[in-house]
Amino acid sequence: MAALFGGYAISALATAALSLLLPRILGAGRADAVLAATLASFVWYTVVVIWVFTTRSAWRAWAGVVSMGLVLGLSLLLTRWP
Amino acid sequence: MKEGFRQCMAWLHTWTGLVAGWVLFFVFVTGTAGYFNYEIDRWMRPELPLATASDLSSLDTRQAIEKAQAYLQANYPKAEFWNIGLPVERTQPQFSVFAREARKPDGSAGRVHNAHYDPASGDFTADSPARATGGGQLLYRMHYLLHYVPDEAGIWAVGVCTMLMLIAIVSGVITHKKIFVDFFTFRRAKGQRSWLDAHNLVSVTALPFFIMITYSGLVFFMTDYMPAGVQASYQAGEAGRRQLLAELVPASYIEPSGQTAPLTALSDIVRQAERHWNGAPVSGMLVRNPGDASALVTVRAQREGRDAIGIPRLVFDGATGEISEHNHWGGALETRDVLLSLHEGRFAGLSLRWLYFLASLLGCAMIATGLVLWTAKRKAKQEKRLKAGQSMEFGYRLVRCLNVGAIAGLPVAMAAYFWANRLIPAEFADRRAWEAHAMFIVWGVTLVYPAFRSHLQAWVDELRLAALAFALLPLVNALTTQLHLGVTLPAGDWVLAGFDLVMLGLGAVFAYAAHEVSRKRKAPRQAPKNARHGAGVQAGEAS
Repeated sequence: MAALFGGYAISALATAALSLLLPRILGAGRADAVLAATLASFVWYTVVVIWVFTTRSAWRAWAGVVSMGLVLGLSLLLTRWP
Repeated sequence: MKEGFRQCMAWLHTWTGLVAGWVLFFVFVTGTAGYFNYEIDRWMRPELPLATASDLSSLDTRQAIEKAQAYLQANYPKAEFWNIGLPVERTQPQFSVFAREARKPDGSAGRVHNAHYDPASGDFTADSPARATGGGQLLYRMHYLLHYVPDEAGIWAVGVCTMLMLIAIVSGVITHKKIFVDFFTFRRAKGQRSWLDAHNLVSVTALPFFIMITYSGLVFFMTDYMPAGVQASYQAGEAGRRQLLAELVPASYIEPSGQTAPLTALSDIVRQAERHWNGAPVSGMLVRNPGDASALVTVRAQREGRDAIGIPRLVFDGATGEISEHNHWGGALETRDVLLSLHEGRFAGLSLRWLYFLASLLGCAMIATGLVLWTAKRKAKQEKRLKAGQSMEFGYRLVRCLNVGAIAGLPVAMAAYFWANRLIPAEFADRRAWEAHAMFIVWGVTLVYPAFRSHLQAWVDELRLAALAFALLPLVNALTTQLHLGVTLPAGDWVLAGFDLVMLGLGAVFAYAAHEVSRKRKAPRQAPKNARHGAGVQAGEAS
């Protein structure tokens, strides 16, 4: 569960955050940033799923997924800041 | 900890592989055929003439373009776009054009009109002499849309399975500690051990291809699977996607200005493009908003015989005939285009195309051996249950039956698709749909059949049926058309002859497989030594 849906949530957050951050950090075009972030999303998903399966307990897995989600969510909020 | 990690990966690999396995097998088999979709198209339209000198021989490129422009101008002056394809590549065996009418008021796409050049009359005609058929394109479409389900559902089902496959590949590599040593190991006729070795062998042989094909497969509909980026920067849904595309490739979304302006001579644009590419020939062009001041003409260079992965394009202003600045591709778009080209083998010439075909067949073999391995690994335990007077578990029996129906049955169904193409009368009203129905009816039967036979007998029966179905296709072709091997080989029509020869080859492969399984069925029980070895592995690797 953590892998399947948590992984998707994290990939989605990472994609959204990168789409908004890349233009600011690297000065990439808006469309280019969206495309690049979406291209990378499948890597995040694979990595998260494999990571979840390597952790010893479901608790740790959930804790990791939730904290990663929080970090990404926060950075997403920051980019919305003017 | 280390062993635990490997075992988790093994578990992940086993179950992602099993869940997605049958769908992926279908995707791989139909997708493998897709590498020769145009060749299959050709075979399924036997009314078209044999390949001789190109039907453009009486025209040069310039005259051809002039004729096409005159025809389109006369018939579809208000189209959203025109496309002109010169008969220079395998994707365009005929000199043909099509026009799409303007969008309907409700925003849906307008009707498409096709026409091809008839050298006899010297003009374009919309009637095709060929029978209606889904052709190779339908097989190709099935590999990402499936069939009998809405497009959206098909795209998602295939996408989820592809993602599982990517995870199965990565976790499979991690699972395998001695991947290099085991690559050179093959223990024949040792039951489970052999299936494991075979699975490793085919998987590692074309590993880069598999990683490329799964990843790039996800890229085709990536904004469907992962809309978060589009949502964050644009807006949700189709509207956001269109905004993104319009920003990426402005030439693909130009609203008509409403001001009329006559289209410049397309043959002049072709001359300019060829000069720009240092004489490299043009393969076709797309004209957007013809007759409007906003008209744009995108000229494509010939793809074949080039090392470039992307197709060179040039965009011209349709009203002035000048090169326009609209065509700027950024790095990310370029990356996406390269991934898509790699997936489809768009740039592949003949030998590379065959290599794609073989690598893709290895993909089918990887999935098939993996599925069989799942049952081989659980065989000893199930036999113990049988000895103890219990029946085999339902899940085990189900997987075994589905394996026969998928691995041996799907090829039978594909052969049925080709049989239907020859046997359903050319004038039959709904023949296009019935070709596909024939395929899926046969597949349905082969999926159910193993439930009523002993396991190995079902394998033998269906493999034999596949062998017969493929091997007899050239004969059926000879009886129903004038295009049999006796004609196509002397004429040097390698597309048609090649199809028949490949069918004979497939027939031979399935006959060999049937022979091997049937030998195993008749052979006495394996020596106890092997059985114990298998049980030991079972205990050691149980997860």
